[in-house]
Order: sequence, then structure tokens, then C-alpha cells
Amino acid sequence: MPPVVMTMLLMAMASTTTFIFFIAVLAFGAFAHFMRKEGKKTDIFGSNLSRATCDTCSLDDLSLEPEGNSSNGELA
Amino acid sequence: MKQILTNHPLHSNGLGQGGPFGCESAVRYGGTFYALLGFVVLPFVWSVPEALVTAELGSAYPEPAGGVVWVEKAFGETAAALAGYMTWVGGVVDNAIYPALFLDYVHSILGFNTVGTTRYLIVAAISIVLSTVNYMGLQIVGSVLVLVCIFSMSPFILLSLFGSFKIDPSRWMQMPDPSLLPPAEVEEYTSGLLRFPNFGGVIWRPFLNNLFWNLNAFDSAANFAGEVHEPGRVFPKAMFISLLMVFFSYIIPMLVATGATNSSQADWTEGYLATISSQVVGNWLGGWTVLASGVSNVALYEAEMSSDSFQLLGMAQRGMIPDIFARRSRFSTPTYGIIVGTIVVLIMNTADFSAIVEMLNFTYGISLLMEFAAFVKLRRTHGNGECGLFSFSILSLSNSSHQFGF
Repeated sequence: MPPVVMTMLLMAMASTTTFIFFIAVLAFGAFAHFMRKEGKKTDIFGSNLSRATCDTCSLDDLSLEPEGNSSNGELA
Repeated sequence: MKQILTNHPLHSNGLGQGGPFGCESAVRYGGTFYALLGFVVLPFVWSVPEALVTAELGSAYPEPAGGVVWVEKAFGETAAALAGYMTWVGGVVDNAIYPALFLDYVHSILGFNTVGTTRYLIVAAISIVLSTVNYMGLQIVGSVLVLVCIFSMSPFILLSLFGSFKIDPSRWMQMPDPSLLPPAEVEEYTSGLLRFPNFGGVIWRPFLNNLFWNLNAFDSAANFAGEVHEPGRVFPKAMFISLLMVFFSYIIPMLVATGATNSSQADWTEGYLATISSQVVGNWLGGWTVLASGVSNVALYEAEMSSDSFQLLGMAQRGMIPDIFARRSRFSTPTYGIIVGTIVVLIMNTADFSAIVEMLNFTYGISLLMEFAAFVKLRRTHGNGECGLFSFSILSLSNSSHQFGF
């Protein structure tokens, strides 16, 4: 409990500049989250590229086999 | 291939243990007595509960995303994404401090200052070089950080040895006097949406923010949980050693620095510890302190950058953010996490020290509160169910103490 109270007290003390910064950070986060969800619907950002663990590899090096946990069941 | 970190790099790397550099604002805004009191009392308020939560949950969920995983397990993906985002913002903003802080130490010993565009270009150049080093590999950073930790503490060990003979304990009782500071500075720190009076003579906003910044970030070690071999054994030990190191590495040098000199609280600006080393021991130790500051701030920058970029990697692997952040370079480091982190650092380099500290504390505070809430929830749902909101600090201490071998 003490760390929670102290942390909340510290945040309550913040300057106007910090509050504005925080609101801007939240707004950007909300925008990114929205874009992420929209991206999933259209499969723009939602494509599973997590197997592409080496950005120096060419596309030919990547396996194109379907992945078991692919969200859309298609080739990742 | 997984890289294995033992507890030695972990407690120096993950926790940002790099000496008491940057603690000057606590004395400047709280006076000697309250600054010393703060560094004795507040580790038990912030550091200990946070380290215990990290030890327990880091062992239970050894994944790269650290605290994000805990929040996800407790409250779901959206809450986890918010916690991760806040942690990441706090981390990358924090990284803007270290290049500037190093520059302040150089200035303190050379006796001049750079301002405006020149200062920004120097700090930006340092940031880019350090990010490039980070891109080239965690293993190099992790191994070197053990030596860095020792070296960055070395001037303070010497200061403590030589300066202990000059201590006048009555200096520790010096109470704060805001009239010693420029009125505009005092006014700046008493403004805000909620105005806080400077009761007791302490300017509470920058004072508490500085203490919070110095004594926190234990949970960032959890971002390396997925990289740690035997986390159940390594994490508790690393947290315990780190707690001791943080406590003693702050309080002992500060007792000597404040007790062995006749400094006024207004003298305490960033870099003042180097001036004290020169006054108490000699110019050679002042220079050594600046060198150690450089090494320490480099290490902290690298540790924070690794932590932040690996956090993004973990979040991408969990599908919370675009998969591009899960890509690794040929050095096995998260390429895009480092690039984005560096861009934020370059933007934040335009702000001053106290403003950066306050902004990062605010965002980090959000994620910290979520992690504590997740800990309570997970204890109730996955643990023995004994943990209540009002007692979780005490219970976590008792329940986790066996992990430290007590």
C-alpha cells in the first residue's frame, strides 16, 4: 500500500507541462491502438511476421509454411 | 539463439546500478537532512516492494515482455498494452537523461557550460553513438556492465574513504531553506494543476521526483526474464543484491559528500558530486568522478535501451504491437525497437533534466501501479489467496523472503 499511495501522490504533483505530455502520449497510444485494430481487420498490420527474426535475411530465406497459430489461417 | 545472462550482469544491467550520479536535486530541493532521510526511508517504500514483486513474477513468467506479461495475465491484453506502452515511454524518456547528465559532469569539472544548439548537437551525437553500440549486441553490453558497475562506484569508494575523516555530523542536520534558491525556480516548482505548498521548506515536487527516479526501475530487469538461464534461481538473488547495492551506493557517498563539505543546498546542481570530490580529496578524484560518470551514464543508457527494445520485442511477439518490432538484427538485437527508442531520445533531449525526470516518472508511475495491481490479482487467483491490497507489501516481503534464502 505505501508504494501505491506514494506513487499516486507523486503523480498528483505533476506540472501542467507533464499533464499535457501525458495526454499527448495517451492520445498517440489510443490512435496507434485504433490503427492496430483496424489493421487487423484488413490484415495490413495483422500479418504474422514474427518468424521474420532476421532483418538481413531475404524473403527467400523465410519459410512460407502455414503457422499453427496464424490468426487468419492463411500463409503468414 | 537465446543469450544467457547470469545474475551478475542482471543486477547491474537490469537495475541501472551506476552510482549516485544525478542525486544532486534531492539535496537542492530538500536540503541535506531530508535528502539523507529520503534515501534511507524511501527504498523501503518503493524499491523493496518493487524488487520483491519483480523477483516473484519475473521467476513465474520468464518472458521478454516483463511486467506487460503480468498485467496481461491479470487484466487482459488491452490493459497489458497500456502498461507496456507506459513503461516503454518512461524508459525511452529516461534515456534522454544520461547523455545530458554526463555533459553536466564534464561542465562541472571544466567550469564552463554549453547551451542551446551546441549542447543539443553534442548530446544527440552521444545518443546516436550509444544506440549504435546497443544495436551491436546485448551480450557485449551485459558482460561489460559488471566492470562498469565497479568502475562507476570507484570514485565514491575513494571519496568515502578519504572524506570520512573530514565529516562533521552536524552538517547532516542542515534543514532546507528555499530562500537560498532563485525565486523563479521555486515558483516554477510550486505551480501546476495541483499546487503543493513547500511545507517544511522542502520543494516537494522535484525532491520526490528525484528520489523516485533514483530508487526505481527494478521491474525493468523483468524484461530480460526470457533471456535468463534459471530465472527462479537468478532473479531473487539478483534483486536482493541489487537492493543492497542501490541502498549503500547512494547513502554512503551522500553521507560523506554532505558531511565533509560546507556546501549550501543551492550549490547542488547536476554534476556537483564531481566538484565535491575535488574539494574533499583533490582535483584528480574530481576528474576520475567525471570519467566514472561518463562510464556510468553510458552503461545506464545501454541497459535502458536494451530493456526498452526487448520489451517491444516481447509485446510484438504477443501480438500487441506490429510484428515488425519482433525482428532481430544479425546481432540478435531488436532492430526497430532501438531505432524508435533513439528517435524519442533525440526529441526529448530538448527538455531539461527535472522536466524529463517528472515526465518519465508520471508515465512510469502508471505502469508501476498496474504492475502492483496485477501482482495482487495474480496472488489472489494463482497464489495462496492471502494477499490483500492493504497488506501486499508486507506479505510479499514475507512470502518472497524464502527466495532470498532467509
